[in-house]
Amino acid sequence: MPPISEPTPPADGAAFVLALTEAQPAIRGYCEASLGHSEEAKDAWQRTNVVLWQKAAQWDASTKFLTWALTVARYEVLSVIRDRQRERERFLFDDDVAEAMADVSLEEAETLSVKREALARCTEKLQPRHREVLTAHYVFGWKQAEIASAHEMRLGAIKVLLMRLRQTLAECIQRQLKRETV
Amino acid sequence: MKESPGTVWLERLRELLLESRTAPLSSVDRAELNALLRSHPEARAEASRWLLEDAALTEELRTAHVESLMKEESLLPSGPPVASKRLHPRRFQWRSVAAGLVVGLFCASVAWAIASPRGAAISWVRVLTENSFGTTSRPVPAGFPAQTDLWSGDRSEWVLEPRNKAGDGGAIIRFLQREGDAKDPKSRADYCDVFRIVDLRACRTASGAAGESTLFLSADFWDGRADRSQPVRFSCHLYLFEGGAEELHWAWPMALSSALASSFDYVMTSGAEPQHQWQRVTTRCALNPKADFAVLHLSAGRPSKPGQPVADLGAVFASNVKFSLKTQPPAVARIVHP
Repeated sequence: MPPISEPTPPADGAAFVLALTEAQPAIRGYCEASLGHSEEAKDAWQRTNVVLWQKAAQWDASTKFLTWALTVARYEVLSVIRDRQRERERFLFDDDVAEAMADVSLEEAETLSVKREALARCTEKLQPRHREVLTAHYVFGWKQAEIASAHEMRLGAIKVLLMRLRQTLAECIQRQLKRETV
Repeated sequence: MKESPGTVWLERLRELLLESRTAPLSSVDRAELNALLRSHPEARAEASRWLLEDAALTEELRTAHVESLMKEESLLPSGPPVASKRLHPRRFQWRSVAAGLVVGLFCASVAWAIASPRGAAISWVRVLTENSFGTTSRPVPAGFPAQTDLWSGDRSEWVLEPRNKAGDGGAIIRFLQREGDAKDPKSRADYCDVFRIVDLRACRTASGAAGESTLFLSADFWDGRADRSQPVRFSCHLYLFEGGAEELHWAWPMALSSALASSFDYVMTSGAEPQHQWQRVTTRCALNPKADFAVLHLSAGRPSKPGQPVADLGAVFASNVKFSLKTQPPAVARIVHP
């Protein structure tokens, strides 16, 4: 990670902090979409934030922050791929796949805020028990076997449940987005 | 029914992505995933969509979990806690509580502990400030606060409102006018903002070194305008600073660039909500060990572009503001069903 230098204060500090905070899920999502769920995705996310903070003064408040932020994130993702010096097995995506994912994910990341609103409506419909299973997996990072043990269920049943819940949410998001378009 | 080849790779792709969330894939699975993504553009598009939605889902579930914790906690009295329905009696037990822990001038509050049988997992929650708008109607002081524990900001007022969400008979804030910052002539008057500085030093000391401490700011907002054709954005912002409260007063908003941490969340009214519906917004931020002060910031308004009609304020409100600190060990309490 580059050393953190003192940032030059942006012309509109409040707007910058607001935009940076608001863009976090999309930046993080973009890094994970490019590099998979991995430590290096977190690394790219962190590096992007450092660079954005350092370049705060260069941001023009009349331009779209997320587009600028994702451009920076893309450079950081590519830089992480270039910096790979450890064994290849540590990484989820091979270099060429990660680069292709970094390209394909840019546009998708820009629409994440719309999806988040749809997702919020979809998760409201979840049964409490299903919400807990998803929270254990997504928020607390429990492995499937741990969730199965806690719920006294078979591992296979938890795998099926997680996949079914996740697919249901994906379909719900698409339905919500279509409804909004109509 | 025979599955199409498309469905087969799609399901396998999703399965591999789901498994990769919490553990490294085996070398065989990893090679299979890379081969899938390398050979199918559709697979890359699907994986990208899936992984981005994963990030959004994680954020959504985390926020919902935090809100549910806060909701449960606010219902508990300062005495011994009651067992949560969500905790398995064989695995967890509620221990006695350190109640009424008073931290600093503003930390009149409640704290309690959740303990595992091994006594390893203990969570503390402190309400740092809550519904502190008083019980009389009066204008909110102008400008950024010069001292802690006072709300002030753009033109707004405290009003007694029978539909107060907190139900405590106290006043709620009515946002009146969007204003720019007096110290910055270039600043745009998009939002009506109110602020409060909270001293974190006592809490920081009391929370101790062990565990993760997270600050939560939440508020209920109500768009009570007769004409709601123009949406209004209500937001909660939380900023953490090192240094003195007076410096913040003089340096605001330039001080924002030196914030140690910040967080933000919002809700936008669309005009489709029921007329009297309050909407809760919660934001959270990890307590930076260097943080001396927090700035709570509530705002209502709408960014205006040239030629666009300006959203009318005057019947938009905030109520039920709560600022709390939760400290918990890195190992989280596990939620299981009986």
